[in-house]
Amino acid sequence: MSYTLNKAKILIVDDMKPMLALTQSVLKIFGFKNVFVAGGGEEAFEIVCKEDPDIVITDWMMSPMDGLELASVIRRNPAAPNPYVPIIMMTGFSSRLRVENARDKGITEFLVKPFSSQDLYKRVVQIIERPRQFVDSGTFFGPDRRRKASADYKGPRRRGKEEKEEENNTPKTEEQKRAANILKKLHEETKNISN
Amino acid sequence: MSDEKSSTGKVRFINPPNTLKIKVGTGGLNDATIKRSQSYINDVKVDFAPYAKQYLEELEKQSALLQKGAQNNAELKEKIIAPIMQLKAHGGMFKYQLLSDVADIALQFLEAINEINDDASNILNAHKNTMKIIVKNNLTGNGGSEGGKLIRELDKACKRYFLKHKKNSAIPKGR
Repeated sequence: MSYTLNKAKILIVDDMKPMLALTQSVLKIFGFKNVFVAGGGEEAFEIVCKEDPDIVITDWMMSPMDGLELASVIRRNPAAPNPYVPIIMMTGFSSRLRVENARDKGITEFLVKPFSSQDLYKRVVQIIERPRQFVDSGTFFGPDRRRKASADYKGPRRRGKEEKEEENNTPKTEEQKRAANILKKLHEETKNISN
Repeated sequence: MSDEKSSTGKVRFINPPNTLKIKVGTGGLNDATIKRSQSYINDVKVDFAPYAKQYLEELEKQSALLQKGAQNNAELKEKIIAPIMQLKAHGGMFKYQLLSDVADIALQFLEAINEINDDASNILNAHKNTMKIIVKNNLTGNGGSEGGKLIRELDKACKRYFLKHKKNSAIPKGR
């Protein structure tokens, strides 16, 4: 038996169209049928109010309303149908301060770009199987930030997986040799910085 | 929905009903589905170069303000960080893994310093020039062994900087 994701509604928000399309396609391969998309925070909030999604996945840096502002408005605006909706922040940021800032604004999970389909899947599973309780302290309203001590999690580095492979990769084609020469030159130039 | 009050009576803990779990059931997804979705990511036909060029132009514009003696403040640093973060985030999604790795080092470096002094500016320029060359020459993939050496050298340059400028760290002690 596996998840039946066709009944769940999911909203993806990103102002970079290819990224929006890519994430949408991956989620459809997972089995989501009701995938809504928005190119910015304001449009996203309209969809939230109309469709009441079960999960929101949002980019951070967007204009005029960014992902953090979207999270705040979902959590605090009385027009939002579900202030407890899980929100996954997908972003290139990964520093601890950024993650903590996002948590303070009510983000449930953090997904660092670039990500693999396994990374995205893990966040979805986390939301389904281990939902966070909510905290309302007056000054903070959002998912409990103490569920796990992995605030500085940076996600697996793809290069890490490929490092052994890369060492044995000698350039074979003319194109690879050209690339290797360019990179070798850059490598030599880099040796003198900060000396 | 179950509510409870903390011992101080000020903080409320709320356990909303897990309606999502009720909708989707149990069992997760099978490995074949995850592999198929990863293959989709690997094979996606998007030319990232035009986007990368836009981000690099923005980086050039913002970092030029440093050279012109603009106020070196947190706001300018954020404006420099923004396009670098986009290059890091999306390069790796659309086949430019080496570009993403170079941007990642630059991003972590900038996030870890208080202000962009002359030495930091040199490091930023090295990363910026490297990224421009990668995009100009359409160097997709991770760059193989030469790409790995380049990444490690850029990383070493940042470490040398921190040895020289121990006080210019934005990371609070104990982190």
